[in-house]
Order: sequence, then structure tokens, then C-alpha cells
Amino acid sequence: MSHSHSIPSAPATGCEKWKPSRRDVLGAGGAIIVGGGLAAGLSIAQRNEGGMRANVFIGKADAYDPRLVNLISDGLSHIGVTRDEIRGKSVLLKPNLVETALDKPHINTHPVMLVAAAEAFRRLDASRVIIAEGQGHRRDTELVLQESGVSRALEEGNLPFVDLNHDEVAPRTNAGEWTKLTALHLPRTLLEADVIVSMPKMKTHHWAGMTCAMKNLFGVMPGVVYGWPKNLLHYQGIPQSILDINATVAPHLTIVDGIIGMEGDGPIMGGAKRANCVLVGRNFPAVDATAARIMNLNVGGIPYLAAASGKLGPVQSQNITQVGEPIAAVQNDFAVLDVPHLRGVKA
Amino acid sequence: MREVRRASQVGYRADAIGSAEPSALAAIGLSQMNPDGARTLRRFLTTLQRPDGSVGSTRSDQSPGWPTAYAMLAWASVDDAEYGTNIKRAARWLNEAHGETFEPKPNVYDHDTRIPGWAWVTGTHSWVEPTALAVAALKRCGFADHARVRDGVSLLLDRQIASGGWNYGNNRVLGAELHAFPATTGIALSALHGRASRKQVEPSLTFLAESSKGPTSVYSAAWTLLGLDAWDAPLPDRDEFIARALASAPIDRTNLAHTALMLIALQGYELFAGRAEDRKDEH
Repeated sequence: MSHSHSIPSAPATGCEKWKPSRRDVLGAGGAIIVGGGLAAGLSIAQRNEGGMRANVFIGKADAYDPRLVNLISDGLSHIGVTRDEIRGKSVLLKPNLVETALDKPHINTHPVMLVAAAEAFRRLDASRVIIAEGQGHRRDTELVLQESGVSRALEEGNLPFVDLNHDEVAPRTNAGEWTKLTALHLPRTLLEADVIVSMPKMKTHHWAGMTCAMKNLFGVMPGVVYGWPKNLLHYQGIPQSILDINATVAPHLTIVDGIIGMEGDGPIMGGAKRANCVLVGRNFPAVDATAARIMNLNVGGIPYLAAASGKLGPVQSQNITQVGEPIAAVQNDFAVLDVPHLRGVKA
Repeated sequence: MREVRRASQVGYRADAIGSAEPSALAAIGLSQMNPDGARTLRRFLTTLQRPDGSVGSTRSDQSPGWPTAYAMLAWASVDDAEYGTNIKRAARWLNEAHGETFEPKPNVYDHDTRIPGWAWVTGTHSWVEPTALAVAALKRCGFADHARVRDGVSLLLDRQIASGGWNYGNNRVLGAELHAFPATTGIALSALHGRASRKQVEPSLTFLAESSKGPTSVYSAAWTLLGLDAWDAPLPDRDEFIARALASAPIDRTNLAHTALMLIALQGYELFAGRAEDRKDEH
């Protein structure tokens, strides 16, 4: 798959053209913010988005409890995932465990979500379900598993876990070409999985604008190659890296934990924010765009989504079919950090 | 530990290919308990050293050079002239390697971005663990007087979180003080021994002691022990802490680098850092 890696220029409204520039380094976390920031008015590609269409399931849930199995199963069914598709396959569930703090469980994908998703795939006769993560900030995987509650969930759900940060790696040609990286080094466990499922937490993000299904895949990039944090990806541009990873990994499904997400100074230091929803979808830009609308964010003001439009998937509402609940049923106003480079993110 | 003792190379998992970091830590941990095994591991590390002197994670990939410091510590863990050339070449690479610097943005983050330190990957910014390991390795291998050691110490002190501890290397971002982690706190304290005053690191010693009362793991516990031992601040309930750490993970999630690190921690700080007279401590 190849994509034009030129970023669509802004319409003639006086808005800035998005162009990656090392001179725009802001530095925190080694992050590079492109061309003047996440300014409002970044264009989304042509309205038809190259004919791309997607279904995204929205389910209502206000608690982390075993009923989530049925909701997730419903969601998979609504987007056309069948037993034939999953039977005999190995499924890798990739949560967001970037960093843990005992008093901030809303940073991470809730462990009950993982157990519920695992059960949903087992009901579809998956041959194997594993949890795998390469968290970006804390090198100590075992402590992350404990503090997030995932270690108990692994035991109760009889689920194996693989630390992607210390896995054996193999290079894959960069299928995105938004960054200058010619290859991405991916963990063998990921490459060997039949079905890759991103299970993010729905959060605002103080560099990317938001983090959801697509940004969650930063966590498949092994730390032994990319470091802690994965600063090489920041230097290549966070939006560009998000796009390249998604294009190269080509994940299959996403199940989003939007029951209690994060607003404000995400992805770590923000406050808990309820959206009482679970999203399920095959197309990650479409799911992330849906999540953005639920959070009342400006899809066009989030650079990775604007660039994904018509390339990796649809982000415009007329090209996404919301199945299950409508957005309005779960929409909640997520606060965004009041800093110049995020001014375009708020709807 | 059986896997570590009998291996000619050690990977992160028992079924994995040999890798620099776990092999180096195993070589250090076994240096007195199993000298023959340690010698084999040190030789394995020489096969990972590249023409520029850096040591990558494995033979087969073009991985970054951050394991170089671990390899130097392993080669220096015995008085053996066999690795003198390997150490010199690695030290030359390490002295030239540096993190990318840029002008500070005080409204965004608090740390001084002009201090080079050491990065995980060439061409990126500097962070706590690669800087601390580089400082420790240079001190151990006879380069304690080098300007880069002073540079590394400055960086580590600059990145310390005001309320105590270190994380991966950001203290405050967009106005928010970030969380400290036990492991990186232990790593930084281990490197700073003899190069900072106790007053400068007291909040971090307190953080580490306090964090030991909560959940722990082999990795975090090992660095906690090393960091506190470096500053002669042992835990009052050390045995209970170690027992909790060793019971923390099921066997199928064992990371052999962490096992080897704990082996080092149980034998004491000097096994990791070398003799005080070699480190040329100033404090």
C-alpha cells in the first residue's frame, strides 16, 4: 500500500499549511509539533474521501462489569465480524498501559474490558487470545500490570501476556511513508498474530489532540529499538508516525474503552471523564473520528485524522455509518488543555 | 536463575535469542558466583560490538547503541585485561554519543534541553536511563574524570522531579509535575552516588523508600535496592520487600534481564558500580 505523503494544504481561509519542521520542536517528551501546531482549519481531503466508508458501533455502558462481554459481542456482530472470521485464529488484544498511577486508573484500558473482549473472541472460537503491550513510559512491565489491575485480570481470565517492548523484532517496510523511516521494527508476537485488536482508552492528548485506536498502536513499537519514551517516533512527527504505524501494522479491529476516559491534560495527567460508551470498528480513522465527535472535538483540527482522511479511512460524518447508539446519546464535552497548539482541537 | 547460570548468551525470555542487556547483567551477577559462566557471557558481548565501538541489542538487527554502557559494565566487572580494547572502543563511542539539544521552551517543560546527556537512539533527545547507565559505565571503566560524566550528572540532577524521584526523564510538562517511577529513581541514584550531595537527592531517597511499601516487581525492587544501597539508606524491611518482589510475577512472564539485575542487587552496590576508588567519588 502506498500513499501520497503530501499533507493536504489548508483551504484558502488564511489557515496554516501543515508541514513537518524540526524547527517546531517543543521538546517535552522529545515531541515535535508540526508546522505551528494543531491549528484549526487543517483541511480534510475531498468530501467523498476516495469512496471510503465504514461502520462504527457505539454501545452504551456505564460500568466495568461482566455485561460488557455481551456488549462487545453485539458490537462485533453489528460490524460484521463472524464466527467464520475468528474461528481457529490467534487474537492479540493491545490495551493502553502507557504509564500507571494507583490513584489514576482512568489512564489505562480497564482490565474488565480486556477480560470481556477475550471472552467475546473465545465465544467466536478463537484458537488463542493473548494480551500484549509495549508501554511507552515505564519500562517495568510487571509493575505496570500490577498497578493497572491487569495482572489480576490475566490470572482470572487465564490470559497470557507478552511484553512487546522486549520481544524479538523483525523489520517491515514502512507502508505509510509519512515519516522518513524506511522500515518499522515490529515485535514478532504482533507479526504472528492473526487478528490484531487495538483496545485504547478514549482520551485527549496534549500533543496529538486525542489518543484512541490509532495512537494506541505506538505501544506496539518495541522499546528495545525505540526507547522509553519512543522518542524516535516523536522526532519523525507524532501524526506522521501514527499514520505510518497504522499503515504498516494494518490492524484488524478496535474496541475502545470510552466508559471512563480522560479529558484535559491527557494522556496521563488529565481528569477522569465519563462518556459511558464502548466503540467497536474495523476502520481506525472512522472509529477515532467517532470518538472525537463523542468528546466534542474538532475532527479537522486533529492532524493525524485530517491526514488519514481518504487515505487510511473516512473521518467525515457522512461517510461513517454509526450503528448501535447515535453519537448524541453519549456525547460529552471533554475539556482540552488551554495551550496555543491545541486551540484547533476543540469543536 | 538456572537458565541464566548455564547459558552462553541470555535473552529477555528463556526461549529468546541472546541479547546484550540481559547477557551483560547476567555476566555481572554471575562474576563471583559462576566465573566461567560470566566469562562466556562477556565473550558473547564482544560478538555484539560493532566497528564503531557501540554494542547493539543483538547480532541480527541494526538496533541502537544504548546497550553499550551495559556491555562496558560487564567487561569491567572483573579485573581482566582481556577486554581492555573492547572497553576503550565502547568508551570512545559512548563519549561521542549524545542526546539532541535545543533551545528551552519554559512554557512547555521545565528541564534544561541544552544538556546533551545520552539518548536511547542516536539523533533523539536525552533521557534518564541511558544517561545514568553511561555515567555509571564511564565511572567504572576509568573515565570518571571525563567532562561527559559531569555533563551526565548535571542532566540527572536537572531532571529530578521536585517532590522526589525520576521518571523516564521529564519532570514537569505544560505546568504539571509528572509521576516518578521507582526503577528510574533507583537508576539515577545509583549513577549519582559520589557525584551529588545527599541533600540534593534526599527527596528522591524518601520517594524510593516510600514507594517500596506499595506494589513492586523484580525490576523495580532491584533498582530500589541498588539506589538505596548506593546512598547507604537500606530499607528497614528489606527481606520482606525482596520476598514480595520475587513473588510478584508468574514464571511465564519472567524477564531474565530483571532476574540478573536482582542477582546483582542482592550482592550489593559495588558489584554494579565498582570500587569507590575507581569511581573517584567527589562527595
